[in-house]
Amino acid sequence: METTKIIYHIILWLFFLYSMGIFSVYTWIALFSYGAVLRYKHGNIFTDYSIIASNPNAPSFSLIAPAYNEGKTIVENVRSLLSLYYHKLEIIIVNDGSKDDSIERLVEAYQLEKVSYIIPGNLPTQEVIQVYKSKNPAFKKLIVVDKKNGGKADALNVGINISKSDYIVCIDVDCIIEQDAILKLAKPFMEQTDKRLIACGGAIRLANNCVVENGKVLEVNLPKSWIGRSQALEYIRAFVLGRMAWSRASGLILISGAFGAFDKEIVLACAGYDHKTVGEDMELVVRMRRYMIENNLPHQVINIPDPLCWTEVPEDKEILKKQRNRWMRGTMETLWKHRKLMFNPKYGKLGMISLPYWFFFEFLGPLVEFSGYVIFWLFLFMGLLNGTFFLSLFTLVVFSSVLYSIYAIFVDLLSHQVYSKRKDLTKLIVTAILEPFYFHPLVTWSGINGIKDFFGKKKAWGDMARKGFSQEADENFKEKALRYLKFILKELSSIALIFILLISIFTVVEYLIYSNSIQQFSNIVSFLVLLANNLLYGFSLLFIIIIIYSLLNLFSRTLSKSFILLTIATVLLAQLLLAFYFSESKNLLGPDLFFYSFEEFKNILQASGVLSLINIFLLLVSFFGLYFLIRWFWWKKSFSIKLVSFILILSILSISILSLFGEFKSAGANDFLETTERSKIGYFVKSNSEMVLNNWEDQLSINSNNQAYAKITSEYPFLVEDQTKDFLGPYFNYSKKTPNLVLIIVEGLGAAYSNPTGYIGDFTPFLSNLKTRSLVWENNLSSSGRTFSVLPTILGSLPFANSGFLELKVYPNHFNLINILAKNSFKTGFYYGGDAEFDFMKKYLTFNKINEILDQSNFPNTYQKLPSNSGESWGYEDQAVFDQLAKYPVDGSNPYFNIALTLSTHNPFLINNEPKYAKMFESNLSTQKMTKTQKDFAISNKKQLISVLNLDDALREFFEKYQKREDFDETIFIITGDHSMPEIPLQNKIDRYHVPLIIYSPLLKKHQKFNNIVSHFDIAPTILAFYKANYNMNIPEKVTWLGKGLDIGADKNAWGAPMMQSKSQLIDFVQGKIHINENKSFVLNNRLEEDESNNNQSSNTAIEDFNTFKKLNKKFASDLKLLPDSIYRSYFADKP
Amino acid sequence: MEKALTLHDLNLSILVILILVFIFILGLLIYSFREYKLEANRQQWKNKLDSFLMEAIVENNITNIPLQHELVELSRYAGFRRFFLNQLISSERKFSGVASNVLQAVFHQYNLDEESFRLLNSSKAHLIARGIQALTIMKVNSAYPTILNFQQYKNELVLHEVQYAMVQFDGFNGLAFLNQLQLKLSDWQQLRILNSIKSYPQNSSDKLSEWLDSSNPSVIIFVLKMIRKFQIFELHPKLMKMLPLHKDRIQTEIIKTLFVIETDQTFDLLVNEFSKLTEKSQQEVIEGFGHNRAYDQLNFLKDQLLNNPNKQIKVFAAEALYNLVEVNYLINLSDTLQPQDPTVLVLNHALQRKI
Repeated sequence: METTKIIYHIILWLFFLYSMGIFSVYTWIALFSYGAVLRYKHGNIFTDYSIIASNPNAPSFSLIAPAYNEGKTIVENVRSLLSLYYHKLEIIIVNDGSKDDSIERLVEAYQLEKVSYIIPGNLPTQEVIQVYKSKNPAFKKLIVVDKKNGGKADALNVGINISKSDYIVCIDVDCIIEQDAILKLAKPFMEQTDKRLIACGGAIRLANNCVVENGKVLEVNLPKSWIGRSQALEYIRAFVLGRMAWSRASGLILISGAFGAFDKEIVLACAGYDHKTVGEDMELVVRMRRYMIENNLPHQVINIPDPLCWTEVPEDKEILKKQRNRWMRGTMETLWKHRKLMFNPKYGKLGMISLPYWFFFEFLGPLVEFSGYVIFWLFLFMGLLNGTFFLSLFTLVVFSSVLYSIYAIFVDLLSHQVYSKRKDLTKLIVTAILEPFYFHPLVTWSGINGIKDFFGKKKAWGDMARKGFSQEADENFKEKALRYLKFILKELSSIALIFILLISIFTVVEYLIYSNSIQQFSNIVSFLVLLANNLLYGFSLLFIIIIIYSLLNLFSRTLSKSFILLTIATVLLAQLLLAFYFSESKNLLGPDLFFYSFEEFKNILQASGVLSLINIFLLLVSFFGLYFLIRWFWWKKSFSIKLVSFILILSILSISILSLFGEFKSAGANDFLETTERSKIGYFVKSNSEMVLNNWEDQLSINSNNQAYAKITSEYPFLVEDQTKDFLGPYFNYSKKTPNLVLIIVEGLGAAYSNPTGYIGDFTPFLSNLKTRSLVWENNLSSSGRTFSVLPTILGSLPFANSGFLELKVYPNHFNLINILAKNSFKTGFYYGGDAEFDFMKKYLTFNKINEILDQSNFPNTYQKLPSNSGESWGYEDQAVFDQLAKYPVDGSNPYFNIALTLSTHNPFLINNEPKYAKMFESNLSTQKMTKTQKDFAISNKKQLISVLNLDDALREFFEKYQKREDFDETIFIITGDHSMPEIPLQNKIDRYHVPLIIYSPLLKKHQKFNNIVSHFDIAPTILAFYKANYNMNIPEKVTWLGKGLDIGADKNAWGAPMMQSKSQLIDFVQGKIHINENKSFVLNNRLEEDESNNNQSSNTAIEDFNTFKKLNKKFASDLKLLPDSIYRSYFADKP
Repeated sequence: MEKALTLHDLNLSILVILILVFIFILGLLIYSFREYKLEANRQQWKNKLDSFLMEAIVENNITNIPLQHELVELSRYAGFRRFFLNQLISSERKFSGVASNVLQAVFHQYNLDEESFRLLNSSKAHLIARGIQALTIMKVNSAYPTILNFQQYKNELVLHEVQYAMVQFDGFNGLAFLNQLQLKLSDWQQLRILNSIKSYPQNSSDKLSEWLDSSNPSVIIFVLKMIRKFQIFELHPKLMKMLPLHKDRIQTEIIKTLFVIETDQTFDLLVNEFSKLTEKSQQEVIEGFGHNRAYDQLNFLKDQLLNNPNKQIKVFAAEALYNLVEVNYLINLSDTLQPQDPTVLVLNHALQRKI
């Protein structure tokens, strides 16, 4: 259902964006055409056309009219043409093998006689049977050509061959041409200056129902039928708006076949009309423009708004459908033939604007509209339809269409007022309102049929000439598609094979890397599982790559080839890099990669010691090595279609297996081994794709969720009345002074190695000792698998938003330990050996007006930094941080709250006195009671554990120093880990978050160990409740804590603890004894070990509550509202 | 985190656009009907003005043009004044002589000269152009100095009208703008100006010769057209010298001009240069020999007919020979050649032999 919703939202957005696209384009056309029409009107208001009518210096024109079976009207039509007002004009009638008596009628009417005539042009055409000229000097302009039938384009080419003039005017013989049409067309050609005018069209109007006498329109009327009137409106929109706008923007690519003038020299250079297409008029203009651009010749194609030609349009539905079907096929043929130009910047506006416009709006328009109707019903039946949205979008589309039509009528009225009768104007407006409901669907449907016929009929793909995929003209679409498929399969056989081979070879490399660094990963079964998983993803990726290649290949071979080579080389290299990453970090890399800024990323790489020139060089060499190896193999080798078909079948099989069952796992593998056996590249691609989809889903979310956890208000779902009990009070002696608070967050302090019962053992002897004097929660959870959420969770018990609270651009006002304690006269400080800017910590602390931040930038340089890796150190060692913390000035007047975040236990685990702790490690290993598994684990993670021992020792020193301070007795220490080290293999999924929580103070009455499951979310509420109850502190009554306090924690079925595995993955949740991980549920025992759960009810409740949290969290991410400003302000305005 | 756009927001924005579209539709409808009404008014004005102008022309009394009350009243509206001006100018094109003078009198009588001057002060280029055109056509000499102020105006429409006005008011001397002309003079503009120059002052060939050396090809072409119009023979030597220096259109135009101002040396000189000319110019030469009756070049033409490999040149040569009444030669030649020889078709074409 989730997927359906995502698809629904994607479709919704696509339709919306498409509608907005059309809306913008038509708005532009409307505005631009108005200017174009006015400009033309202003430039020609006093034009005296008569000066060229008989001037010897005027250019010569040949009017070419092809005729096929026009016997009944041809004599009258030619008479009309002969009366055109222009001296240097020849009229060429091309009889295209008519089966009627057209020629005989012409011969008789115009006293024609056969003449021997040299045909100057050399365009290939059907055979010319005879040329006729008149004996009568009155008809000396007339040339009649009789030829074998070859279609309109062929007939026009014959006319071009015959022509002796500078320009040709191509018309339909049944059109009525205005007397001064040639004069008006000649002017733009005579006005051309630096840009050559290669084609010029005029507005065409409807002759239906007009009073015509002797080839002249005497009275203009609107057609009688609604179909005719709709076309009248359509022609106004096309010629007065569309073409004028495109003409002004130098993007016109269609000069109507019914009436248009062309520069003959360019037409001949471009080889004339293409007789293979049914859209020869548009195709010629595109080809001419293409020719001019390819030869660097500045040019223009224009349209003039004067109505120069009158034509009879079909008022019969069937004929209209056929005409629109043909127009659509013509459009598609032209777009297909010139697909190379599409989005090709070399072709300027033609490639970047005009052709894409035709593709997206003229070709795709009917398709989108039609699919809109289909999807509407589909969604309606599926109950997914958002009625209001569809209705408003549909109404907008209809209203916009009406507006556009009325605007066209208005502009036409301003410029030419063809329809000058008031009733005609009214009828046109009524037509504009009705047209979207009856005429437009008809035209859309014809367009759809045109697309169908383009693929289905024989002639359509005839000219799709290309290497290996060509020329058979008599195939239907199915045959052509099959041939294309075979061609693609043959072509890709070698590249598919080498891809799979290299994936397998690289898996061997992966196996060698892991077996070297990961002890558990050494048997052949693990290798086979890894290979199988890599192949599953390899085949699946290959399938997607092939599909994209096949589609790209339709448009550009160069692009598709570059795409496949680059993609395959990148995927293979990524496979290796991710394997190295995993062996180092013991973690899979997913979308978290993209959450770091460039600077942060650089820092991480530098600190890990991998960012060196030699590594960059190796990376580049590997990439290009792979690229050229694949290319060489691809070009040199070719295999049978059978092989690649087999690979494709495996690909489909792999996709099915992955979607149905997921990856393979070896029997009995623990969580870490399972992770090692996973395909790293597969995980990377999958998790990133999921993130993109989730982001889309987030963008589309309706936010109809009105749930509020505390039910105070749906606007602030996390706002609650603070009911946290003073749970700590009974354990503490009362102090005269308000106790100070010191929070120590230890990087990577997992329970697995800081507790004798941990699955690795106890490598924190001091802490273990301290625990015997403290309040201890061994079943404590962090809120994330990385450091990014520790501050907002411990300090403010805050939700995550999308990628962790710290990532928010603007932090909403909220309460937390810093601002509440500061309000109660505490001094506050943050101590960190590294760069506090990391993960936006500094930004957050500064936002909370912390009194002091000590980090790498202002650390006294007398201290030692951690050893550098390739010249880059993470910062100052923990000893330095603790020393500074212990030196915090003793000031009896105000209590303080200091936070320290350690660093030494971070990858790459380099410490200054390594031999000392290595020795300690060895002795620990020998003295501690450990099982063999624990020992093996410890040995294989020696580096990490040595750094833990170092940290523990630093803590010991710290407490020694602190004990000497006067205020030691009035200080409370909280020690916890930010998360477990991801580099140390996890036994259970929960281990990632399993960290100890220790509260120590000389004020404590007794030691106590708690087994309930708590989380970092519970710390702030409990601490503040303690201060409020015992030291009468002013604590807000309404708060936004996610935690319920350390007494409740996540253990009771209250709210539960959500956890983010990485900045992009909110997939873990603990409620009661149930742990949800990616919709799988586990049961937790008292030691926080887990097994798959069978308790469906508890699991379902937990899943439901987790989903509720996610929804509320999303709402928060979108609204950024935690609490009303009034509450926040009034709290800080109060006196403490 | 930035706020995500929700469906609700989308719906709202669509509704807002919808309301805007609806308001636009209403606005447009009102505006369209208003425009239609204006258009209908214009039709009435046209009828009134047509009958008024016709009457004035028939009356033919320049000194006593009647001031019709209704027209004077309507003249209070700028829209009407401009319409009146348009009507007057289009009528002026249809008449000449006395009728034209009557129209000019009407122009002044109804203060349309003032309206034209007002247009000159407009900020819109097309209105300035219209003003210049009206004052030029109505021969308002006093406007000339003001019009000259627009010589550097940065709009082509205005510049064209200024050029036209200069020639209208100043005749040949008005062509002085050619001295500095950087922009291309379009064929259309050349034609307008050429039509306006009614006479050619004696001893102006130096000026023409100077323009023939212009770096602006359109100026050279214009001057060549001038030479053809006024048949300025003294520039023949200059053109002969220029012939080898140019290619393309200028070369063809020079040849056309040479045929117009032909001397006894023209044909020989063209034959000598023939092989160096472009194909288009070669066609022009052969065509010119036919039209100009170059009987002394018969052998040259026959040679071209028989030996030139270019089909088009053959056709032109055959047509030229036909014009030079060498019909018998062509018939005889046709009879001697094999029927399948391609030259036969050329000969038949030239002879317009009926089949």
